[in-house]
Amino acid sequence: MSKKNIVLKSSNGIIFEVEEAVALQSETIPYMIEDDCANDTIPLANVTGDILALVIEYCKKHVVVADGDGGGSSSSSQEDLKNWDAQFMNDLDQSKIFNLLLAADFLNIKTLFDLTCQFVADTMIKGKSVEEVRRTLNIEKDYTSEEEAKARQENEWAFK
Amino acid sequence: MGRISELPEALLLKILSLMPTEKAVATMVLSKRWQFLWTMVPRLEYDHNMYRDGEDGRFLRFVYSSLLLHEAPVLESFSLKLGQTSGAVDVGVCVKPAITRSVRELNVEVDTVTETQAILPRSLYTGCRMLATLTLKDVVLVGASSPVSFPSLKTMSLVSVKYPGDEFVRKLLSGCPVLEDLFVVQCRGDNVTVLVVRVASLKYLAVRRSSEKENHQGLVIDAPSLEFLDIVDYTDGFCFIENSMPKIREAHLDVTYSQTQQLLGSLTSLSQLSLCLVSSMDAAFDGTIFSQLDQLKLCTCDPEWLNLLMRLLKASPKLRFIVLQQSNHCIRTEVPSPCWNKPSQVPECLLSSLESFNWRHYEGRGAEKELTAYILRNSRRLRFATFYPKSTDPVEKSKLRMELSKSPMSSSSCQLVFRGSYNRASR
Repeated sequence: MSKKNIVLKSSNGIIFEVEEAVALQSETIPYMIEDDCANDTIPLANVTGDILALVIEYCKKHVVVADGDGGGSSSSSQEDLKNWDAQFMNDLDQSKIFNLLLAADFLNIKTLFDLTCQFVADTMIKGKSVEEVRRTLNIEKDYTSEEEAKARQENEWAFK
Repeated sequence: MGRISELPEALLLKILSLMPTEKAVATMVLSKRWQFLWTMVPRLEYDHNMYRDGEDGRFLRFVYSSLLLHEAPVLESFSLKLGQTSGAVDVGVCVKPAITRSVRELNVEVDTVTETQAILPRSLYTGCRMLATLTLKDVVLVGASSPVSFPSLKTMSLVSVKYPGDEFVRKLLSGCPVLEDLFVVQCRGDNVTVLVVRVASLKYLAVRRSSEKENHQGLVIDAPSLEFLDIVDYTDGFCFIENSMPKIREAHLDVTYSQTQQLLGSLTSLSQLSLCLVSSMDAAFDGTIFSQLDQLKLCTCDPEWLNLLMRLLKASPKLRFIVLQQSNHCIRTEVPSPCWNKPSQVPECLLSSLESFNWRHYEGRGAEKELTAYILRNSRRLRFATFYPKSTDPVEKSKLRMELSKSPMSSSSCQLVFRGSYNRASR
Protein backbone atom coordinates (compact mmCIF):
# COMPACT_ATOMS: atom_id res chain seq x y z
CA MET A 1 0.00 0.00 0.00
CA SER A 2 1.49 3.31 -1.02
CA LYS A 3 1.50 5.97 1.66
CA LYS A 4 -0.04 9.26 0.70
CA ASN A 5 0.50 12.41 2.69
CA ILE A 6 -2.03 15.09 3.44
CA VAL A 7 -1.19 18.70 4.19
CA LEU A 8 -3.24 20.50 6.83
CA LYS A 9 -3.08 24.22 7.49
CA SER A 10 -4.13 25.66 10.83
CA SER A 11 -6.07 28.92 11.23
CA ASN A 12 -2.84 30.75 12.05
CA GLY A 13 -1.12 29.41 8.96
CA ILE A 14 0.94 26.57 10.40
CA ILE A 15 1.43 23.68 8.00
CA PHE A 16 1.31 20.02 9.08
CA GLU A 17 2.04 17.15 6.74
CA VAL A 18 0.63 13.85 7.92
CA GLU A 19 0.04 10.39 6.52
CA GLU A 20 -3.38 9.92 5.02
CA ALA A 21 -4.31 7.23 7.57
CA VAL A 22 -3.60 9.65 10.40
CA ALA A 23 -5.75 12.41 8.90
CA LEU A 24 -8.59 10.10 7.97
CA GLN A 25 -9.47 9.44 11.58
CA SER A 26 -11.30 12.70 11.14
CA GLU A 27 -14.58 12.15 9.37
CA THR A 28 -14.65 15.78 8.25
CA ILE A 29 -11.35 15.78 6.33
CA PRO A 30 -12.45 13.34 3.59
CA TYR A 31 -15.22 15.77 2.60
CA MET A 32 -12.71 18.60 2.49
CA ILE A 33 -10.42 16.55 0.26
CA GLU A 34 -13.28 15.89 -2.15
CA ASP A 35 -14.38 19.50 -2.19
CA ASP A 36 -10.92 20.82 -2.64
CA CYS A 37 -9.20 18.28 -4.83
CA ALA A 38 -7.32 20.85 -6.93
CA ASN A 39 -5.46 22.20 -3.95
CA ASP A 40 -3.24 19.93 -1.89
CA THR A 41 -3.48 21.92 1.32
CA ILE A 42 -6.55 21.60 3.50
CA PRO A 43 -7.25 24.78 5.44
CA LEU A 44 -8.74 24.34 8.91
CA ALA A 45 -10.11 27.77 9.65
CA ASN A 46 -11.17 27.14 13.21
CA VAL A 47 -8.29 25.09 14.60
CA THR A 48 -5.15 26.84 15.78
CA GLY A 49 -1.69 25.38 15.31
CA ASP A 50 -1.10 24.35 18.91
CA ILE A 51 -4.44 22.52 19.05
CA LEU A 52 -3.94 20.93 15.64
CA ALA A 53 -0.58 19.65 16.86
CA LEU A 54 -2.35 17.95 19.76
CA VAL A 55 -5.01 16.47 17.48
CA ILE A 56 -2.30 15.06 15.21
CA GLU A 57 -0.36 13.68 18.15
CA TYR A 58 -3.50 11.86 19.28
CA CYS A 59 -4.32 10.57 15.78
CA LYS A 60 -0.76 9.36 15.20
CA LYS A 61 -0.81 7.40 18.42
CA HIS A 62 -4.13 5.84 17.59
CA VAL A 63 -3.33 4.95 14.01
CA VAL A 64 -0.19 3.05 15.03
CA VAL A 65 -2.14 0.79 17.31
CA ALA A 66 -4.91 0.23 14.77
CA ASP A 67 -2.18 -0.90 12.35
CA GLY A 68 -0.66 -3.43 14.75
CA ASP A 69 -1.53 -7.10 14.38
CA GLY A 70 -4.76 -7.95 16.06
CA GLY A 71 -3.33 -11.07 17.64
CA GLY A 72 -3.08 -12.04 21.29
CA SER A 73 -1.46 -8.78 22.29
CA SER A 74 -4.48 -6.67 21.40
CA SER A 75 -5.78 -6.42 24.97
CA SER A 76 -2.48 -5.21 26.34
CA SER A 77 -2.12 -2.60 23.61
CA GLN A 78 -5.67 -1.47 24.38
CA GLU A 79 -4.54 -1.06 27.98
CA ASP A 80 -1.44 0.87 26.89
CA LEU A 81 -3.57 3.12 24.73
CA LYS A 82 -5.89 3.86 27.64
CA ASN A 83 -2.95 4.83 29.82
CA TRP A 84 -1.55 6.96 27.03
CA ASP A 85 -4.93 8.71 26.62
CA ALA A 86 -5.12 9.44 30.36
CA GLN A 87 -1.60 10.89 30.38
CA PHE A 88 -2.29 12.90 27.23
CA MET A 89 -5.35 14.55 28.81
CA ASN A 90 -3.67 15.06 32.17
CA ASP A 91 -0.89 17.09 30.60
CA LEU A 92 -3.28 19.70 29.16
CA ASP A 93 -4.52 22.87 30.77
CA GLN A 94 -8.21 23.74 30.75
CA SER A 95 -8.10 26.15 27.86
CA LYS A 96 -6.37 23.54 25.69
CA ILE A 97 -8.90 20.91 26.74
CA PHE A 98 -11.90 23.00 25.69
CA ASN A 99 -10.27 23.99 22.42
CA LEU A 100 -9.39 20.36 21.79
CA LEU A 101 -13.01 19.45 22.44
CA LEU A 102 -14.16 22.00 19.86
CA ALA A 103 -11.57 20.75 17.37
CA ALA A 104 -12.55 17.10 17.88
CA ASP A 105 -16.17 18.09 17.35
CA PHE A 106 -15.42 20.10 14.22
CA LEU A 107 -13.09 17.47 12.75
CA ASN A 108 -15.49 14.72 13.84
CA ILE A 109 -12.97 12.44 15.51
CA LYS A 110 -15.31 10.41 17.64
CA THR A 111 -12.85 8.72 20.00
CA LEU A 112 -11.04 11.98 20.78
CA PHE A 113 -14.36 13.78 21.27
CA ASP A 114 -15.61 11.10 23.67
CA LEU A 115 -12.30 11.03 25.51
CA THR A 116 -12.31 14.78 26.03
CA CYS A 117 -15.96 14.96 27.13
CA GLN A 118 -15.43 12.08 29.53
CA PHE A 119 -12.33 13.74 30.96
CA VAL A 120 -14.19 17.00 31.58
CA ALA A 121 -17.14 15.16 33.16
CA ASP A 122 -14.97 12.94 35.36
CA THR A 123 -12.31 15.35 36.54
CA MET A 124 -14.09 18.69 36.61
CA ILE A 125 -17.70 18.02 37.58
CA LYS A 126 -18.35 14.51 38.95
CA GLY A 127 -17.39 14.07 42.58
CA LYS A 128 -17.18 17.81 43.20
CA SER A 129 -19.49 20.14 45.08
CA VAL A 130 -21.17 23.01 43.24
CA GLU A 131 -18.65 25.46 44.71
CA GLU A 132 -15.75 23.28 43.63
CA VAL A 133 -17.13 22.93 40.11
CA ARG A 134 -17.59 26.67 39.87
CA ARG A 135 -14.04 27.25 41.03
CA THR A 136 -12.49 24.49 38.92
CA LEU A 137 -14.24 25.58 35.76
CA ASN A 138 -13.87 29.27 36.44
CA ILE A 139 -17.60 29.85 36.07
CA GLU A 140 -18.67 33.34 36.86
CA LYS A 141 -21.42 33.34 39.46
CA ASP A 142 -24.06 35.66 38.09
CA TYR A 143 -26.56 34.77 40.81
CA THR A 144 -26.60 36.92 43.90
CA SER A 145 -26.20 34.89 47.06
CA GLU A 146 -29.91 35.42 47.76
CA GLU A 147 -30.85 34.21 44.29
CA GLU A 148 -28.73 31.11 44.68
CA ALA A 149 -30.19 30.38 48.10
CA LYS A 150 -33.66 30.79 46.64
CA ALA A 151 -32.89 28.47 43.72
CA ARG A 152 -31.59 25.87 46.13
CA GLN A 153 -34.62 26.23 48.33
CA GLU A 154 -37.05 25.92 45.43
CA ASN A 155 -35.21 22.85 44.20
CA GLU A 156 -34.54 21.33 47.57
CA TRP A 157 -35.20 17.86 46.08
CA ALA A 158 -32.09 18.23 43.91
CA PHE A 159 -29.58 18.77 46.69
CA LYS A 160 -28.62 16.20 49.25
CA MET B 1 -11.90 30.46 24.23
CA GLY B 2 -10.68 29.33 27.57
CA ARG B 3 -13.75 28.67 29.65
CA ILE B 4 -16.34 25.94 29.74
CA SER B 5 -19.20 28.49 29.62
CA GLU B 6 -18.06 29.51 26.14
CA LEU B 7 -18.68 26.04 24.74
CA PRO B 8 -21.79 25.58 22.61
CA GLU B 9 -24.81 24.11 24.37
CA ALA B 10 -24.66 20.82 22.46
CA LEU B 11 -21.20 20.13 23.86
CA LEU B 12 -22.21 21.03 27.41
CA LEU B 13 -25.18 18.67 27.12
CA LYS B 14 -22.87 15.94 25.90
CA ILE B 15 -20.64 16.45 28.95
CA LEU B 16 -23.62 16.50 31.32
CA SER B 17 -24.92 13.29 29.80
CA LEU B 18 -21.79 11.47 30.97
CA MET B 19 -22.71 11.59 34.65
CA PRO B 20 -25.50 10.35 36.88
CA THR B 21 -28.57 12.59 36.72
CA GLU B 22 -27.98 13.74 40.33
CA LYS B 23 -24.74 15.41 39.29
CA ALA B 24 -26.16 16.94 36.12
CA VAL B 25 -29.13 18.39 38.02
CA ALA B 26 -26.89 19.97 40.66
CA THR B 27 -25.24 22.15 37.99
CA MET B 28 -28.42 24.25 37.90
CA VAL B 29 -27.03 26.60 40.54
CA LEU B 30 -23.63 27.16 38.88
CA SER B 31 -24.80 30.22 36.97
CA LYS B 32 -27.84 31.46 35.06
CA ARG B 33 -26.62 29.83 31.87
CA TRP B 34 -26.64 26.46 33.60
CA GLN B 35 -30.00 26.85 35.29
CA PHE B 36 -32.08 24.90 32.78
CA LEU B 37 -29.33 23.15 30.88
CA TRP B 38 -29.81 19.88 32.76
CA THR B 39 -33.45 19.70 31.65
CA MET B 40 -32.26 19.15 28.07
CA VAL B 41 -29.69 16.44 28.78
CA PRO B 42 -30.70 13.50 26.59
CA ARG B 43 -29.77 10.83 29.15
CA LEU B 44 -31.32 10.08 32.50
CA GLU B 45 -29.56 7.77 34.89
CA TYR B 46 -30.99 6.94 38.30
CA ASP B 47 -29.29 4.55 40.66
CA HIS B 48 -30.78 3.81 44.05
CA ASN B 49 -27.49 2.33 45.19
CA MET B 50 -26.02 5.84 45.25
CA TYR B 51 -28.26 6.59 48.23
CA ARG B 52 -27.70 5.42 51.75
CA ASP B 53 -30.12 3.25 53.70
CA GLY B 54 -33.08 5.27 54.90
CA GLU B 55 -32.87 7.68 52.01
CA ASP B 56 -35.56 5.97 49.93
CA GLY B 57 -37.90 8.93 50.25
CA ARG B 58 -35.19 11.26 49.00
CA PHE B 59 -34.42 8.98 46.05
CA LEU B 60 -38.10 8.78 45.12
CA ARG B 61 -38.54 12.51 45.35
CA PHE B 62 -35.48 13.07 43.22
CA VAL B 63 -36.65 10.68 40.51
CA TYR B 64 -40.18 12.06 40.33
CA SER B 65 -39.20 15.75 40.54
CA SER B 66 -36.48 15.56 37.94
CA LEU B 67 -38.70 13.55 35.60
CA LEU B 68 -41.42 16.18 35.89
CA LEU B 69 -39.08 19.06 35.14
CA HIS B 70 -37.00 17.34 32.49
CA GLU B 71 -37.78 18.57 28.98
CA ALA B 72 -35.51 16.95 26.41
CA PRO B 73 -37.87 15.96 23.60
CA VAL B 74 -35.87 12.83 22.75
CA LEU B 75 -34.07 10.55 25.19
CA GLU B 76 -30.99 8.73 24.05
CA SER B 77 -30.87 6.71 27.19
CA PHE B 78 -32.89 6.06 30.32
CA SER B 79 -31.53 3.93 33.13
CA LEU B 80 -33.26 3.08 36.39
CA LYS B 81 -31.51 0.89 38.94
CA LEU B 82 -33.49 0.06 42.01
CA GLY B 83 -31.95 -1.24 45.19
CA GLN B 84 -33.27 -3.51 47.89
CA THR B 85 -35.48 -0.97 49.60
CA SER B 86 -36.72 1.07 46.69
CA GLY B 87 -39.85 -1.04 46.36
CA ALA B 88 -42.10 1.97 46.60
CA VAL B 89 -40.94 3.36 43.27
CA ASP B 90 -43.58 2.88 40.64
CA VAL B 91 -41.45 1.57 37.82
CA GLY B 92 -44.31 1.94 35.38
CA VAL B 93 -44.69 5.64 36.09
CA CYS B 94 -40.94 6.27 35.85
CA VAL B 95 -40.49 4.44 32.58
CA LYS B 96 -43.42 6.12 30.82
CA PRO B 97 -41.65 9.43 30.08
CA ALA B 98 -38.86 7.44 28.47
CA ILE B 99 -41.35 5.64 26.27
CA THR B 100 -43.12 8.80 25.15
CA ARG B 101 -39.79 10.48 24.35
CA SER B 102 -38.62 7.89 21.85
CA VAL B 103 -35.93 6.41 24.09
CA ARG B 104 -33.13 4.63 22.23
CA GLU B 105 -31.58 2.78 25.14
CA LEU B 106 -33.65 1.59 28.09
CA ASN B 107 -32.26 -0.09 31.16
CA VAL B 108 -34.35 -1.16 34.14
CA GLU B 109 -32.63 -3.20 36.82
CA VAL B 110 -33.96 -4.25 40.17
CA ASP B 111 -32.02 -5.80 42.99
CA THR B 112 -33.31 -9.36 43.41
CA VAL B 113 -33.98 -8.96 47.11
CA THR B 114 -36.72 -6.42 46.48
CA GLU B 115 -40.04 -7.76 47.67
CA THR B 116 -42.37 -5.75 45.52
CA GLN B 117 -42.43 -6.59 41.87
CA ALA B 118 -41.35 -4.09 39.27
CA ILE B 119 -44.00 -4.28 36.59
CA LEU B 120 -43.31 -2.56 33.30
CA PRO B 121 -46.14 -0.70 31.56
CA ARG B 122 -47.83 -2.24 28.54
CA SER B 123 -47.14 0.89 26.54
CA LEU B 124 -43.55 -0.39 26.33
CA TYR B 125 -44.65 -2.99 23.78
CA THR B 126 -46.00 -0.55 21.24
CA GLY B 127 -44.58 2.86 22.05
CA CYS B 128 -40.85 2.32 21.49
CA ARG B 129 -40.33 2.90 17.81
CA MET B 130 -36.74 4.07 18.24
CA LEU B 131 -35.61 1.69 20.98
CA ALA B 132 -32.33 0.04 19.95
CA THR B 133 -31.11 -1.42 23.24
CA LEU B 134 -33.27 -2.91 25.99
CA THR B 135 -31.80 -4.25 29.23
CA LEU B 136 -34.10 -5.65 31.89
CA LYS B 137 -33.21 -7.35 35.14
CA ASP B 138 -35.61 -8.78 37.72
CA VAL B 139 -38.66 -7.08 36.34
CA VAL B 140 -42.08 -8.39 35.40
CA LEU B 141 -43.47 -8.25 31.89
CA VAL B 142 -47.23 -8.51 31.74
CA GLY B 143 -49.31 -9.91 28.90
CA ALA B 144 -49.95 -7.82 25.82
CA SER B 145 -53.36 -7.62 24.20
CA SER B 146 -52.07 -6.01 21.03
CA PRO B 147 -49.02 -7.14 19.03
CA VAL B 148 -45.62 -6.33 20.49
CA SER B 149 -43.52 -4.08 18.27
CA PHE B 150 -39.89 -3.05 18.66
CA PRO B 151 -39.08 -2.12 15.06
CA SER B 152 -35.57 -0.79 15.82
CA LEU B 153 -34.46 -3.10 18.63
CA LYS B 154 -30.99 -4.52 17.98
CA THR B 155 -29.81 -5.61 21.43
CA MET B 156 -31.89 -7.13 24.20
CA SER B 157 -30.83 -8.49 27.56
CA LEU B 158 -33.44 -10.25 29.69
CA VAL B 159 -32.00 -11.27 33.04
CA SER B 160 -34.30 -13.01 35.53
CA VAL B 161 -37.34 -11.48 33.91
CA LYS B 162 -40.78 -12.93 34.64
CA TYR B 163 -43.18 -13.45 31.77
CA PRO B 164 -46.84 -14.37 31.46
CA GLY B 165 -45.80 -17.63 29.74
CA ASP B 166 -44.11 -19.31 26.74
CA GLU B 167 -46.48 -17.76 24.25
CA PHE B 168 -45.63 -14.24 25.40
CA VAL B 169 -41.91 -14.77 24.83
CA ARG B 170 -42.63 -15.88 21.28
CA LYS B 171 -44.80 -12.83 20.75
CA LEU B 172 -42.10 -10.57 22.18
CA LEU B 173 -39.37 -11.96 19.95
CA SER B 174 -41.55 -11.97 16.88
CA GLY B 175 -42.01 -8.23 17.45
CA CYS B 176 -38.27 -7.64 17.05
CA PRO B 177 -37.60 -7.85 13.30
CA VAL B 178 -34.04 -6.46 13.41
CA LEU B 179 -32.84 -7.98 16.68
CA GLU B 180 -29.18 -9.03 16.42
CA ASP B 181 -28.02 -9.65 19.95
CA LEU B 182 -30.03 -11.51 22.60
CA PHE B 183 -28.98 -12.48 26.10
CA VAL B 184 -31.41 -14.43 28.28
CA VAL B 185 -30.93 -15.61 31.84
CA GLN B 186 -33.86 -17.69 32.95
CA CYS B 187 -34.86 -17.68 36.59
CA ARG B 188 -37.03 -19.62 38.97
CA GLY B 189 -40.69 -18.94 38.44
CA ASP B 190 -40.33 -17.15 35.11
CA ASN B 191 -43.25 -19.17 33.68
CA VAL B 192 -41.29 -20.33 30.65
CA THR B 193 -41.10 -24.06 30.01
CA VAL B 194 -39.66 -24.08 26.51
CA LEU B 195 -37.74 -21.00 25.44
CA VAL B 196 -38.33 -20.56 21.72
CA VAL B 197 -35.99 -18.16 19.93
CA ARG B 198 -37.17 -17.65 16.38
CA VAL B 199 -35.51 -14.52 15.08
CA ALA B 200 -34.35 -14.35 11.48
CA SER B 201 -32.01 -11.41 12.05
CA LEU B 202 -30.30 -12.74 15.19
CA LYS B 203 -26.50 -12.89 15.10
CA TYR B 204 -25.51 -13.36 18.76
CA LEU B 205 -27.37 -15.52 21.23
CA ALA B 206 -26.44 -16.30 24.81
CA VAL B 207 -28.67 -18.29 27.16
CA ARG B 208 -28.18 -19.21 30.81
CA ARG B 209 -30.29 -21.78 32.63
CA SER B 210 -29.42 -23.19 35.99
CA SER B 211 -30.14 -26.58 37.49
CA GLU B 212 -32.63 -25.37 40.09
CA LYS B 213 -35.67 -27.58 40.26
CA GLU B 214 -37.81 -25.80 37.81
CA ASN B 215 -40.01 -26.65 34.90
CA HIS B 216 -37.56 -25.33 32.33
CA GLN B 217 -37.71 -28.05 29.73
CA GLY B 218 -35.71 -26.88 26.81
CA LEU B 219 -34.55 -24.43 24.25
CA VAL B 220 -35.60 -24.20 20.62
CA ILE B 221 -33.58 -22.05 18.25
CA ASP B 222 -34.47 -20.95 14.76
CA ALA B 223 -31.94 -18.29 13.87
CA PRO B 224 -30.56 -18.80 10.36
CA SER B 225 -28.31 -15.71 10.55
CA LEU B 226 -26.70 -16.72 13.84
CA GLU B 227 -22.92 -16.20 14.04
CA PHE B 228 -22.29 -16.68 17.76
CA LEU B 229 -23.94 -19.08 20.19
CA ASP B 230 -23.22 -19.31 23.90
CA ILE B 231 -25.24 -21.68 26.07
CA VAL B 232 -24.74 -22.52 29.72
CA ASP B 233 -27.51 -24.90 30.68
CA TYR B 234 -27.36 -27.18 33.71
CA THR B 235 -30.88 -28.50 33.35
CA ASP B 236 -31.40 -31.97 31.96
CA GLY B 237 -33.39 -30.43 29.15
CA PHE B 238 -32.61 -30.13 25.47
CA CYS B 239 -31.58 -27.68 22.80
CA PHE B 240 -33.17 -28.13 19.42
CA ILE B 241 -31.96 -26.24 16.35
CA GLU B 242 -34.82 -25.92 13.88
CA ASN B 243 -32.97 -24.66 10.84
CA SER B 244 -29.42 -24.72 9.59
CA MET B 245 -27.11 -21.91 10.63
CA PRO B 246 -24.65 -21.48 7.76
CA LYS B 247 -23.06 -18.35 9.24
CA ILE B 248 -22.28 -19.77 12.68
CA ARG B 249 -18.63 -19.11 13.52
CA GLU B 250 -18.27 -19.42 17.26
CA ALA B 251 -19.99 -21.55 19.89
CA HIS B 252 -19.49 -21.94 23.62
CA LEU B 253 -21.45 -24.83 25.03
CA ASP B 254 -21.42 -25.77 28.68
CA VAL B 255 -24.39 -28.03 28.94
CA THR B 256 -25.68 -31.09 30.71
CA TYR B 257 -28.00 -32.35 27.98
CA SER B 258 -28.24 -36.08 27.47
CA GLN B 259 -28.74 -35.61 23.71
CA THR B 260 -26.30 -33.48 21.76
CA GLN B 261 -26.33 -35.04 18.27
CA GLN B 262 -28.78 -32.55 16.80
CA LEU B 263 -27.16 -29.53 18.45
CA LEU B 264 -23.57 -30.39 17.51
CA GLY B 265 -24.70 -31.52 14.08
CA SER B 266 -26.05 -28.01 13.43
CA LEU B 267 -22.70 -26.36 14.05
CA THR B 268 -20.71 -27.58 11.07
CA SER B 269 -19.54 -24.11 9.95
CA LEU B 270 -17.88 -23.25 13.25
CA SER B 271 -14.40 -21.85 13.36
CA GLN B 272 -14.23 -21.73 17.16
CA LEU B 273 -15.77 -24.21 19.55
CA SER B 274 -15.52 -24.34 23.29
CA LEU B 275 -17.13 -27.33 24.88
CA CYS B 276 -17.92 -28.72 28.30
CA LEU B 277 -20.23 -31.69 28.36
CA VAL B 278 -21.02 -33.80 31.39
CA SER B 279 -21.58 -36.97 29.48
CA SER B 280 -18.81 -36.84 26.93
CA MET B 281 -19.15 -40.56 26.33
CA ASP B 282 -22.65 -40.12 25.00
CA ALA B 283 -21.94 -36.89 23.19
CA ALA B 284 -22.84 -37.83 19.69
CA PHE B 285 -22.11 -36.05 16.46
CA ASP B 286 -21.79 -39.06 14.20
CA GLY B 287 -21.08 -38.14 10.65
CA THR B 288 -20.69 -34.45 11.47
CA ILE B 289 -17.57 -32.88 10.05
CA PHE B 290 -16.48 -29.55 11.45
CA SER B 291 -14.84 -28.66 8.20
CA GLN B 292 -13.98 -25.05 9.17
CA LEU B 293 -13.05 -25.62 12.81
CA ASP B 294 -9.87 -23.74 13.63
CA GLN B 295 -9.86 -23.49 17.43
CA LEU B 296 -11.11 -26.03 19.92
CA LYS B 297 -11.31 -25.47 23.65
CA LEU B 298 -12.32 -28.54 25.59
CA CYS B 299 -13.07 -28.85 29.28
CA THR B 300 -11.43 -31.81 31.00
CA CYS B 301 -13.86 -32.12 33.90
CA ASP B 302 -15.65 -35.18 32.61
CA PRO B 303 -13.92 -38.60 32.90
CA GLU B 304 -14.67 -39.33 29.25
CA TRP B 305 -13.26 -36.12 27.82
CA LEU B 306 -10.35 -37.88 26.15
CA ASN B 307 -12.65 -40.08 24.16
CA LEU B 308 -14.59 -36.96 23.10
CA LEU B 309 -11.38 -35.15 22.16
CA MET B 310 -10.23 -37.97 19.89
CA ARG B 311 -13.58 -38.04 18.13
CA LEU B 312 -13.53 -34.26 17.72
CA LEU B 313 -10.01 -34.41 16.26
CA LYS B 314 -11.16 -36.97 13.75
CA ALA B 315 -14.09 -34.73 12.77
CA SER B 316 -12.08 -31.52 12.47
CA PRO B 317 -9.62 -31.79 9.59
CA LYS B 318 -8.44 -28.17 9.66
CA LEU B 319 -7.95 -27.65 13.38
CA ARG B 320 -5.01 -25.37 14.24
CA PHE B 321 -5.42 -24.65 17.95
CA ILE B 322 -6.32 -26.93 20.84
CA VAL B 323 -6.80 -25.74 24.41
CA LEU B 324 -7.52 -28.21 27.19
CA GLN B 325 -8.67 -26.72 30.47
CA GLN B 326 -10.86 -27.11 33.50
CA SER B 327 -13.67 -24.59 33.48
CA ASN B 328 -14.40 -22.38 36.44
CA HIS B 329 -17.47 -24.36 37.38
CA CYS B 330 -15.63 -27.67 37.80
CA ILE B 331 -16.39 -28.40 41.41
CA ARG B 332 -14.77 -31.79 41.51
CA THR B 333 -11.09 -31.31 42.15
CA GLU B 334 -10.34 -34.98 41.66
CA VAL B 335 -11.43 -36.05 38.25
CA PRO B 336 -10.76 -39.76 37.65
CA SER B 337 -7.94 -40.33 35.18
CA PRO B 338 -9.40 -40.67 31.71
CA CYS B 339 -9.07 -43.79 29.68
CA TRP B 340 -6.78 -43.72 26.64
CA ASN B 341 -7.48 -45.74 23.54
CA LYS B 342 -5.00 -45.08 20.81
CA PRO B 343 -6.89 -44.34 17.60
CA SER B 344 -6.36 -46.71 14.71
CA GLN B 345 -5.57 -43.85 12.36
CA VAL B 346 -3.86 -40.54 13.07
CA PRO B 347 -6.43 -37.72 12.70
CA GLU B 348 -5.96 -35.56 9.62
CA CYS B 349 -5.60 -32.33 11.62
CA LEU B 350 -2.53 -33.64 13.45
CA LEU B 351 -0.84 -34.52 10.19
CA SER B 352 -1.61 -31.32 8.37
CA SER B 353 -2.89 -28.38 10.41
CA LEU B 354 -2.41 -28.41 14.19
CA GLU B 355 -0.09 -25.55 15.18
CA SER B 356 -0.72 -24.99 18.86
CA PHE B 357 -1.50 -27.35 21.72
CA ASN B 358 -2.18 -25.71 25.06
CA TRP B 359 -2.93 -27.62 28.24
CA ARG B 360 -4.05 -25.75 31.35
CA HIS B 361 -4.14 -27.59 34.69
CA TYR B 362 -1.94 -30.37 33.34
CA GLU B 363 -1.48 -33.19 35.83
CA GLY B 364 0.60 -35.59 33.77
CA ARG B 365 -1.24 -38.73 34.83
CA GLY B 366 -1.12 -41.97 32.82
CA ALA B 367 -3.55 -41.33 30.00
CA GLU B 368 -2.71 -37.62 29.93
CA LYS B 369 0.92 -38.46 29.33
CA GLU B 370 -0.05 -40.86 26.58
CA LEU B 371 -2.17 -38.22 24.87
CA THR B 372 0.63 -35.67 25.12
CA ALA B 373 3.15 -38.11 23.67
CA TYR B 374 0.73 -38.99 20.88
CA ILE B 375 0.09 -35.34 19.97
CA LEU B 376 3.79 -34.44 20.01
CA ARG B 377 4.78 -37.55 18.07
CA ASN B 378 2.19 -37.13 15.33
CA SER B 379 1.64 -33.39 14.87
CA ARG B 380 3.91 -32.55 11.99
CA ARG B 381 3.20 -28.82 11.89
CA LEU B 382 3.10 -28.13 15.60
CA ARG B 383 4.74 -24.82 16.53
CA PHE B 384 3.84 -24.45 20.19
CA ALA B 385 3.05 -27.01 22.87
CA THR B 386 2.33 -25.17 26.10
CA PHE B 387 1.71 -26.74 29.50
CA TYR B 388 0.50 -25.14 32.71
CA PRO B 389 0.91 -27.67 35.51
CA LYS B 390 -1.91 -28.00 37.98
CA SER B 391 0.49 -28.84 40.78
CA THR B 392 2.20 -26.02 42.64
CA ASP B 393 4.85 -28.31 44.11
CA PRO B 394 8.24 -27.40 42.56
CA VAL B 395 9.51 -31.00 42.67
CA GLU B 396 6.41 -32.30 40.96
CA LYS B 397 6.61 -29.51 38.39
CA SER B 398 10.21 -30.18 37.45
CA LYS B 399 9.40 -33.89 37.12
CA LEU B 400 6.61 -33.06 34.66
CA ARG B 401 8.93 -30.77 32.76
CA MET B 402 11.61 -33.48 32.52
CA GLU B 403 9.12 -36.02 31.22
CA LEU B 404 7.78 -33.62 28.61
CA SER B 405 11.18 -32.58 27.35
CA LYS B 406 12.02 -36.21 26.58
CA SER B 407 8.97 -36.72 24.38
CA PRO B 408 9.83 -37.31 20.73
CA MET B 409 8.39 -34.64 18.45
CA SER B 410 7.70 -34.95 14.74
CA SER B 411 7.77 -31.21 14.17
CA SER B 412 11.33 -29.93 14.31
CA SER B 413 10.19 -26.33 14.75
CA CYS B 414 7.97 -27.01 17.76
CA GLN B 415 8.61 -24.99 20.90
CA LEU B 416 7.85 -26.79 24.11
CA VAL B 417 6.75 -24.22 26.68
CA PHE B 418 6.34 -24.99 30.33
CA ARG B 419 4.62 -22.26 32.27
CA GLY B 420 3.80 -21.54 35.90
CA SER B 421 0.32 -22.38 37.09
CA TYR B 422 -2.45 -21.20 34.85
CA ASN B 423 -3.91 -18.12 36.39
CA ARG B 424 -7.50 -17.49 35.43
CA ALA B 425 -7.34 -13.90 36.53
CA SER B 426 -4.59 -13.13 34.04
CA ARG B 427 -6.48 -14.37 31.06
